[in-house]
Amino acid sequence: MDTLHYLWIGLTHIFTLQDIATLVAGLLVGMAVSVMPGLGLVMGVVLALPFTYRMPIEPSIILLTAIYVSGTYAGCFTAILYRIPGEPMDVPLLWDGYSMARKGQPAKALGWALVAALTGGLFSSAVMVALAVPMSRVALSFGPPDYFAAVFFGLTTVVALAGTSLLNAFISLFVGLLVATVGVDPIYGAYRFTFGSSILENGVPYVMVLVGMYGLGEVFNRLSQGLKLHGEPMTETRVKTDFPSWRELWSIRKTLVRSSVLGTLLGIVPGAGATVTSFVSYGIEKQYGERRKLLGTGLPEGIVAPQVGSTASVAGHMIPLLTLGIPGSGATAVILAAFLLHGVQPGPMLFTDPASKAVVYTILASLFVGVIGMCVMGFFWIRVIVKVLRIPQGVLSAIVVLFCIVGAYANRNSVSDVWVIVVFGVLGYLFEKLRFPISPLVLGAILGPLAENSYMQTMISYHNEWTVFFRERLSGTLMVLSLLAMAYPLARHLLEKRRRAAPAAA
Amino acid sequence: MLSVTRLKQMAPYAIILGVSAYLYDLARHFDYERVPGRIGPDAWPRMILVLLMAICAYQVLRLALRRKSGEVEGVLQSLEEQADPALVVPTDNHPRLAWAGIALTFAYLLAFEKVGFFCASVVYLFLLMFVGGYRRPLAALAISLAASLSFVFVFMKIVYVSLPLGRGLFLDLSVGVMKMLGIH
Repeated sequence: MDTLHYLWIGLTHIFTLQDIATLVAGLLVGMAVSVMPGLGLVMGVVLALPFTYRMPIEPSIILLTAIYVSGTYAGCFTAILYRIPGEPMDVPLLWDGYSMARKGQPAKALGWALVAALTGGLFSSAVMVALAVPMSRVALSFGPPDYFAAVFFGLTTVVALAGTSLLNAFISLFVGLLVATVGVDPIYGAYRFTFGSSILENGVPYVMVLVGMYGLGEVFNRLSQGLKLHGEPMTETRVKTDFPSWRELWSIRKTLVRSSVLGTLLGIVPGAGATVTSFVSYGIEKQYGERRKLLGTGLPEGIVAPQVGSTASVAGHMIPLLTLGIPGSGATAVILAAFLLHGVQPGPMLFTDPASKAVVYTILASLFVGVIGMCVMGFFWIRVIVKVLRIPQGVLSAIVVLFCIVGAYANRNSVSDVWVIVVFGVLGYLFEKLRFPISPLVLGAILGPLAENSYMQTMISYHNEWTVFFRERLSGTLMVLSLLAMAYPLARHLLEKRRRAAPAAA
Repeated sequence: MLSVTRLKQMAPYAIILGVSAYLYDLARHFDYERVPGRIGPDAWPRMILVLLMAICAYQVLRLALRRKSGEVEGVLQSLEEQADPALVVPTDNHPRLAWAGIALTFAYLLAFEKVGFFCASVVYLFLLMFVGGYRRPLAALAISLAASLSFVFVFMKIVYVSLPLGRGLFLDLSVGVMKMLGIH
């Protein structure tokens, strides 16, 4: 009852002029950035961060979460209609969404995507509201080994999922963890890898790593690809949405439930972003769906599964952020930065004070309103939103770079921060060229300090006894899950090798 | 003899291995007050560096011994490989454009404080659009001017960021632009 009471308070807050205006602005920005290849929702959240410096905390977080949630939806328009995935998470939508459009049913494909985003978003928001308080109570009992194990689980998951090479993903992760060690060590006050530079003494802010890798790195990468949109010619007449009937919806109920649960659960795991949930949901559908053999030929299940998965992951990600203070993705890391800029540390204590509780529930309520709002906007304004694609790529990229540079400068009015993002931009470009995945590096830089602090505290408290991570019930479970996550790609690789060798031997 | 292609493949790992070894040596000499029985601030980075060096050494050896097996893919990669090849988005390769963009960005940052944000940004945006393939000079100039003015207005007037004004003549120009936009 207490939860519903606070949720009601949150809903009443949302409909104040300032909050609803930032919510609408956030939804529009999120849709625009996710439609454009080379921008993406993380970039949208990062670029919006400087605008929150002078805003109160509530609209600041609402703005960023609105960009985050609508950023998981609008990319479907261009993927389905023009074979242009706005984000990597939209790639699975090409397989069935674009195929359905090619069969002459683009409006129906868009309708399936809308229903999927609405279902996934509302389901995971409801789960988040239900889990927030119990999770915050569990979080209160978390000790350093549990925190370390939770972060370790997130890091190993992102490595196991990402990239063309598991070893390259590990290298990327270790570089990220190493970046996080730069600066003055918090326990001993030792200077680490500062090379006598005062700029490096305060460490490398992870937001700068994000801006550099996802912003500048992506622009440099797209420059090297000639900044062309490879897709279908744009025609106005096809841009509309047709809803599926109740009967059609009922026929894919299992996909809806499966992907909603999966998207929310994967969202809770630190490291598994919207792209991961989108691909995994599609993969599960391909493995267990009733019409799995026909997937890829333009089936609704192939649209619904990835779209539900990616939108459901947003609320899932907010759970560890709000209850544990652990950001599980690039976007939630920026939201954490916004919290910290306003002097609020997310974690279980947020749920103990009535004032901060009201703020938290306003943010939670904004997700419900945001999910409905983005679907309404998607339905009515789709023609306007896809016109963003008409902006010349050269112009857009130049303006994005300037946004990144000014955003980095605005953080501390310092050119050194701008140099940091440029260095990481070049690194991001090189990583992309050399086929090293970027997400493990970014997550390593974000979660590195938390991982090191909890590791050091555990080692100091337990007299360097590392087996404690496996002996404690919660941390032990998470560590075993982490090892399984790492072993899974290896086991799959060995099985695949054996399967390929069998016919050859025969 | 190792082929040039193989050497190119090995190069990133060898570079990371070398840098890691150097950083490991640095980590061994961190200056701090040692507490008996406790691990120091070097423990965590050294642990990461050992793992990093081990993986890089393995990759260098694997490539040197021409072993194709042993490259384990992430889970997402295998899903992407199952896609219809007709639906895979093709990409071009123009690394020179990327390096031109990077060089421009370095030049912009070097000029940033001397020339001031407004003047440096107008030139930078114009040139970056050119590198990005936008070949309408008048439109590009108009966009560069409009975008730079908008950035000055939004960030200096609304977000209160003190963007660099430049020196000498550029300072006068930046102040003139600020007056024009009503920024005091």
